[in-house]
Amino acid sequence: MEVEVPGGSEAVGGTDTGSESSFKVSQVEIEDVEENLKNAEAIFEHLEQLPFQVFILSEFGKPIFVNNDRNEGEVVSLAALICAFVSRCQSWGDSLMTMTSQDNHIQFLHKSPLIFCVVSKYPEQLDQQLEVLFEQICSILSKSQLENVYKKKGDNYDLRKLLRGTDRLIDSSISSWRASPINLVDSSISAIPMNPSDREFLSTTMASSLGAAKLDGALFGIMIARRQIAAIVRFKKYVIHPRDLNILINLVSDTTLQTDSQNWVPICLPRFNDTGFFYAYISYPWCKTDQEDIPACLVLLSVKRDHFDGLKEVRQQIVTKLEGNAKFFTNFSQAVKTPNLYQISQIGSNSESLWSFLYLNHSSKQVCMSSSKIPLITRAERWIARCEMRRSSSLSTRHPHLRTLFVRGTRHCLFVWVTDLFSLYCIFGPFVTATIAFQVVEKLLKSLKSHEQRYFIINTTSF
Amino acid sequence: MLELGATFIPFEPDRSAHDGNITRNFFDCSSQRICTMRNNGALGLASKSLQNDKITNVRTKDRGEPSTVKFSPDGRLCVMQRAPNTADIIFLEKTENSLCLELTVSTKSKEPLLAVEWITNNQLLLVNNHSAELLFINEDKKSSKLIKATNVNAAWAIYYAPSQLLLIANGQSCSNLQPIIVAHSQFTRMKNFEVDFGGSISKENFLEKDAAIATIYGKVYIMVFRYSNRSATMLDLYELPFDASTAPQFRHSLILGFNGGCGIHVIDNLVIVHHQSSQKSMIFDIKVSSPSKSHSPLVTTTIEPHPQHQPPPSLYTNFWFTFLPDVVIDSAGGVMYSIRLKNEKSQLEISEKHTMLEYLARRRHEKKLFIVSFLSCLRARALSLRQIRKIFAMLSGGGGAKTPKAENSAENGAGSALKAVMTCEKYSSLVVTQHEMQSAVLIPLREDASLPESYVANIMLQYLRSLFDASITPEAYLIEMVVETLAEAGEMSKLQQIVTYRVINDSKPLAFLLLSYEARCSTLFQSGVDILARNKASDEIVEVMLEKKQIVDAFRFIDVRNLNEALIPKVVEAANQHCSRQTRYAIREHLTEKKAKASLYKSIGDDLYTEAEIKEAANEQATCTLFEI
Repeated sequence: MEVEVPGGSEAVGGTDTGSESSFKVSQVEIEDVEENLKNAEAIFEHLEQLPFQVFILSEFGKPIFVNNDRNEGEVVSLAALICAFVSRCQSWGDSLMTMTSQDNHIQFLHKSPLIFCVVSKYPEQLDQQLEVLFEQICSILSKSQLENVYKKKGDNYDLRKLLRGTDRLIDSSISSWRASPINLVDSSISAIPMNPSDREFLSTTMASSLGAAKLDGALFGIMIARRQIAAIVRFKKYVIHPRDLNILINLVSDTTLQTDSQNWVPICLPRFNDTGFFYAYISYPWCKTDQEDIPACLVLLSVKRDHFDGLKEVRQQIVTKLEGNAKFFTNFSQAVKTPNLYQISQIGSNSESLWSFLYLNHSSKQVCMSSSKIPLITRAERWIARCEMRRSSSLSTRHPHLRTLFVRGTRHCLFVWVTDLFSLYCIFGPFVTATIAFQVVEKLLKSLKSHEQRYFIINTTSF
Repeated sequence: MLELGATFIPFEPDRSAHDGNITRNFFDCSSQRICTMRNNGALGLASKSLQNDKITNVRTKDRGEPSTVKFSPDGRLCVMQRAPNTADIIFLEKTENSLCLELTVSTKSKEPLLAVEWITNNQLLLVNNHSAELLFINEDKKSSKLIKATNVNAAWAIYYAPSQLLLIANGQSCSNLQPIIVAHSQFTRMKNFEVDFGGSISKENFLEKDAAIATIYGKVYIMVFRYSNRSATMLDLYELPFDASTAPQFRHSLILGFNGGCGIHVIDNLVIVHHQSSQKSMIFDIKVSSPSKSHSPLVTTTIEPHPQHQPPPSLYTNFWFTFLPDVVIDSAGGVMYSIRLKNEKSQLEISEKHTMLEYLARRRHEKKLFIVSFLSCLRARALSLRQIRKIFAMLSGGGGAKTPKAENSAENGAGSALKAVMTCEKYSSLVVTQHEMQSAVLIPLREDASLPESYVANIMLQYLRSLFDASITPEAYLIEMVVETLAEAGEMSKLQQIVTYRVINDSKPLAFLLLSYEARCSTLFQSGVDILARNKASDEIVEVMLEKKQIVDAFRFIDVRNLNEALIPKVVEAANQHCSRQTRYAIREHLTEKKAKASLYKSIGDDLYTEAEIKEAANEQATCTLFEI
């Protein structure tokens, strides 16, 4: 990772002196904790104001990452407090998972050598959020490096030196998880809606170009736009996990990368292999070209460090082939610029009462979401609906026997249907009856099935 | 507690003057008249009663000294027994200033008469030791005619006029009693029965003076003195059934605990025994519950003379004669007194409050006193809840009304086989209406600031329970007060329960009352709405929902109940005021879908969402824009 951000380096600089502190000093920190316990109320009051607060620290209480720009002293003492909680529970042969105080939910994750903690108003899926964060850090350092670093450099090592400049990625990982409509349910991806033939052309073009290059070690080619996947091709039977894809999406959505230049980024995909690194060739072929800005990103993944030039050629081939097909290219740029999401009116008559839905295919981990519809228009209105879906999603994970759920609320009705194949979360208007809701949902499923290839990537082309 | 001489009447005492003039007095139990005879009627026969001022004054022939004098119920005829086996009927009315006409009657067998009694104004009953005969006296013709005769074996006989009951004693020690009803010119024999009078060698026979008949609490009892060497004297009460086929039964035993001369009164259903030597009077109430049939005196007291008698007459003297029900005759002083209960003293005499209250509740014409005492006891918190409940049950007729009903139905159900042949004065228990109870007891209790509200609430609940037990529908005002009191006392769970289990009937005012208590107990709100729902008061429910700003629920309710459209504008108006844009949109869509008149929801407006924000939302959604609130 070669990108430097002024804010990132400043934060690192501020703590450099702390990293030199001896064992004695860490004892002083513990005393601070006791002092702070007295002022705990004030701090928690402050935490309550925030929707979300993440702490990442080493097992030895060294703060590594904190969002929301908190002052250093408070961070240190809170980190020590978190560390004390976790290690105390560990000394009992137990592990601390969660703490709840009224509307404040605190979730802990202890993945040696790191401790993750999140304080939030929303209790749902906090545990998964922390795992994603862990994987995000792994993607920068890889798990084996992470484990070795403390062995080599001692317990008091400040990991921020190694993560220099990546605070931004961790931050965006947090916000993409929290704020993206796609990640509402589990770790899923969304396919950008495209004509089946166009998608076919895109993936075969990518596959054939990668295949023709005969680069031993180039495994995946992915076209990403608008945080959604346009196409994905793979070498033989290798598969990429949706969580890893989300790490990639998070990476390529970083605006500092979005230039017409090319990037060569080492990245660990922990679900694929948490000890080794991929080398990602990231390019935005149509970024700020003379015609139009097409926000599409081509990612080519190889395990070989010296494939940069080879992949550069492949990229050029793909771009040329795609631009060569004028009909495709028009459609493609259109689909990528403003993705044409599923319109609820497509269902047909009587669907007015359905306001919003989210469909998750369990096997492919792909979601299909409806486009916005009156009356869920403002961010606040959509956010409430989204929270409702998030809550029901976590409810169905916690209660696997829950298959259908219909809740009549004052604002809206919620319909949840979970089967082995899919999960469907629907927001209906408040006056709908369960029967009508079910009829609409059945029609919706039929409609989705018939347009399956448009909204989902059914087959991953291999080369 | 007993007062002598509130009513009284003086008479000329018995006298045997040296001038040969003799004055004799007779008391007629049946007509309750005292009869003064001077010179066996030759100098005059005067009869007086305590009940009315009418004094009969006539003169008769002197045909010897009579042993009994009895007046017919209308006072026109008089029968005297001057000879053992004949009776003389004297026609009082026809001769104002001259001597009365007379007619002598006797039984067929001319045996000595045991009893001579007036049955009606012109029917005379004669009893000798072989037969009882009923004679018809023709006042105009001055003749008599035998109507009916029956063979009896009598040692002695007493007659109880209120029930037209003739009691005949026979058997070896005269302890076998045969009750006979003399009514409708018929003799109806009832089941005979044996009494235990404590017979011994010294006391072989059961005597007439040891028996008395009285009506207590609507039942006729034969009271029998039972003497015992070992234990104290008892007064046994045998209940006579109303039908002829059931045998009389031993019911109660009053423990007197003394020996010697005594007199019995039955006043207001209380048995009062005056003991001469100890100068004490014992008051028994057979309704006071007792584990066995034995009763101890409720009160032992001394008679007090009424202040109008100055100087006060001496009490419990040898010259006293007592007659049922309440007559005392002082033969020396020549005054006939009545005895009356002074119930206002019962608070002092009866220490146990609940017994005292029950006592008062059973007294005639003491409602006011009872209510005042009850209220003061409640105020003083002198009663336990259980006792309060018992008293309420008594007043509501829970215990009192049901039992006679059951008995009546048993009698009716058995049909003519158990047809009542005997009548007596009915006893009606005290009934305090809900209105009286509320105004005289419950409201004063509520207003008494010194009492804890929960105590008052509990009393009310007990009252409600007693009404419920007696299958009496509580009045709306009562329920309202109970609910209010419960709410004030903070007994929300109790309130909730009586509403939920429908102890109190549903009514709209109650529902609104409950709704108003929502702030104190939120569940009551739902109870109130439930009541409205059961009353099908849909419009009100919609109003309540709007009040609570549950506009969506109100609409759903209108849908479910298929209510008319008249309510819709009101709900739409409320929605415009309180609902989010999203909800208003949903309402408009919903009404459109229902094909309601567009005018009804016009006020919501079509411009809830602007083109620009719709476009922006579509774009944000399509490009997966991150945002968090």
